[in-house]
Amino acid sequence: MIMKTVWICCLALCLGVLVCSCGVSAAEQPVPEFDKILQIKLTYDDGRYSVSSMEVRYGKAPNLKIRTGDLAGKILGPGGNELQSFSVQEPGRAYGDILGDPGGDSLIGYTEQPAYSDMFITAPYEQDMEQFTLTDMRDGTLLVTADLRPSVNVFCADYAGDPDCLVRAAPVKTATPDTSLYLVLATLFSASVFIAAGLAILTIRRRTKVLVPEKQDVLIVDDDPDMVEAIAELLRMEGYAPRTASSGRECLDLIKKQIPDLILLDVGMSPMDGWQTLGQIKKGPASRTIPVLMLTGRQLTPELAKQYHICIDDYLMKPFQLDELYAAINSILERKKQLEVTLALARKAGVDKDKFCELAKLSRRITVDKKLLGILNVPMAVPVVADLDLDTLDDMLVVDYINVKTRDRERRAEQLRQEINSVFRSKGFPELGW
Amino acid sequence: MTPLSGHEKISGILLLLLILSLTWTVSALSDPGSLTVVVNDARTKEVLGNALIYLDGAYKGTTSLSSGNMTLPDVTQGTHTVRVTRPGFKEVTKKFSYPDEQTLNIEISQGSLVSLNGNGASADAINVVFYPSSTSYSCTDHAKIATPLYLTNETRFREDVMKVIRSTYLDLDKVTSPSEALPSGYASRFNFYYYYDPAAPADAFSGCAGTIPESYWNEVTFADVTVILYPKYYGIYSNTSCQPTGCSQNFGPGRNLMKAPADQLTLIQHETGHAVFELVDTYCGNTYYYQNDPNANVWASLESCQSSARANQRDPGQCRQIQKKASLSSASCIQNYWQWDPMPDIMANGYRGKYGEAATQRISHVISQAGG
Repeated sequence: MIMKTVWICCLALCLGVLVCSCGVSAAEQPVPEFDKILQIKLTYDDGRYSVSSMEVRYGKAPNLKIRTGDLAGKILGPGGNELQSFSVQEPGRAYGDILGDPGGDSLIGYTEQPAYSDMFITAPYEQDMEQFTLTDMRDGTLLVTADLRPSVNVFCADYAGDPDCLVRAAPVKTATPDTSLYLVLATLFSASVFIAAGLAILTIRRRTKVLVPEKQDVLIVDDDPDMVEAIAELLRMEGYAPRTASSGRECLDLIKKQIPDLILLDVGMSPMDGWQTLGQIKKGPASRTIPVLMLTGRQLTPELAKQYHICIDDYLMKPFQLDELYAAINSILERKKQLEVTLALARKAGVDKDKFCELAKLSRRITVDKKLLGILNVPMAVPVVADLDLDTLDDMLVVDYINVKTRDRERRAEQLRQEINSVFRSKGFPELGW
Repeated sequence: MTPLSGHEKISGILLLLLILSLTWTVSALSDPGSLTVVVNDARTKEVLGNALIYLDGAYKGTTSLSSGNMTLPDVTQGTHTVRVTRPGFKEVTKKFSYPDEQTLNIEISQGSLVSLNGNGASADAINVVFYPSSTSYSCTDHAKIATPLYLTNETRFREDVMKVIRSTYLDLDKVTSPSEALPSGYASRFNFYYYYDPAAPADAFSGCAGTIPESYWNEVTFADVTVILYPKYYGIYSNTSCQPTGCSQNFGPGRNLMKAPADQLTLIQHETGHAVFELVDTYCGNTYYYQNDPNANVWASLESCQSSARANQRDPGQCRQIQKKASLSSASCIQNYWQWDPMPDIMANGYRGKYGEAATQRISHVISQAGG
């Protein structure tokens, strides 16, 4: 601490000498500026956040203290020590107001809450900052975390003489022992060996990272411990990273800590069954886009189809074949990956995000519904019902309802597909394959 | 003499290599040279003195007034980063390799950000930046139209900005509740700027709150709110079929946008209520309602409203649900949120009124969070 203070004082003195050496008084001289900011660009994608880019650069930060909102941002130092905290609102939410008749309703509201949006966090640089976290304060869900150290290191590699970078480097410099040349060389030699070893490990790790894809995080939820363990083992053998939960409640707790790539959810659990658990998953802003594969031992009936109709990605009837399980998982994860790639292209091409999102949702829904209709052994019928609430339909009409809706959705999906493909064609991008 | 073991031999060779490499490094380091940085104005090509030069992040001094040069001694071999700043100009950084490049010619462009605070910016104050729109709306064609008004007339834009600043910020005490005192010297807790680059205008009618070229966001990183000001609508306003709009939209700290028409000062105050003070609408309609604690102006329950009223010595009996009766121009409306502020309330009305007592309390809270 004393050394750090001495170091800062020396630095200040040096800067003072530099300023004075120019022979101009400080009042006339522009003052050097070392204000730095941390800029994080996040992508908000239908409730999920991910880091798009991050950098430390010179600049001034906005006033974080004046903001309030449901999301809590934190910048943490060593050991999780909180260096900064602030709150923000969900990105893209728009409050629009139209002036109305002066004598009547004077303001008319309109709103926008985009499913996709960029979000920018600009915060003052903090010495020793290591991690950024964004949490939803309504339910404590950790939305995103980011390791800040690489960005700081990149900055300090370019600006090693910046006062803050000097202070960061200072402990290393002051730690040089005041001993004989032999000891100095021995220390340097040891350091070189360690650095070489470190670099070698880093290189190997980097290469390893490139060669081996990150393991997909699959959460298996079933109250039958034998079933859970068996599926987990099978998935492990296939290179997935399974986690397990023995109840709906445990599943909800686990996804608050870490969002999985996929959930395998058993329907027949108690006290909270699979449908109730699914309802909670789909309510959470951060969890509602997690793909869910339902596992059920029951025969499919129209009543069950009514429940399946709420936002699942696929389902499997127990007992299922091993290859069926792998195929269903691969299909969902592959689709997710394909969607991410296509979304990046769509953004590049300037396709309307809402349209793209609508097509993605419709496409998923059409696939599931067609599978349901196939299982129920029902031909695609002529529309007979429209604009009805599914909850009010009896079982007889459920099938017709799904039929009609599927046809409507197919028409709309085709229209959107054509619009998006036309933009893709104009940019020379490959057309959508789904 | 005992013969060396294999391990000792390898250690010896490594030590020798290390010493050699250190010797070479010391030799290279001990042979630094000088670098000359020449700074010019990108537009006029004139040399610029008083530009601040930083080498690898360390401040080295300023360029000479007469030549725009600065010579930096003791520059070591390798890749370096030079950073050039000058008040009123955009910062430039450049990587270079020494001694391959021993003279750097750097052009810097005048900045487009103009400060409107005579005494300079206050630290930790609320930063409000105004940005001109190249678009407005035609009530004749019922469509967005391009307008050159602000792009060809900076003085006109500046005058409109000053009107907004006076009515919305400097005279805040005239539009807030007298029952709630604003922090003393509140006007000094704002820093005002406008950004003027006719080649990169904003479009107030792209998206709800408009859009601004990315170059602005790269340059101005500290704005607490950026206001896209657009010229008044063309043609005649006619009821709701052609009436000006305002909008506030937030993309994170530093990217908080609002748009408003220059001729509608009450609407500007309403949008400022959203964008700067995070006040919630108190009219009944299609908007976002939430209890905007601390110091809310809208509550999620009658009890919360009454409790807040009692805690702040206000009459709890004045708490009422946000609703309106059916009229010729609209259907009835009711929300599960409660308000206290009397009408005409700026957060409910775009033509007249004041920020009520609860809203003023929140405004005071936000201003007190800022320095100045």
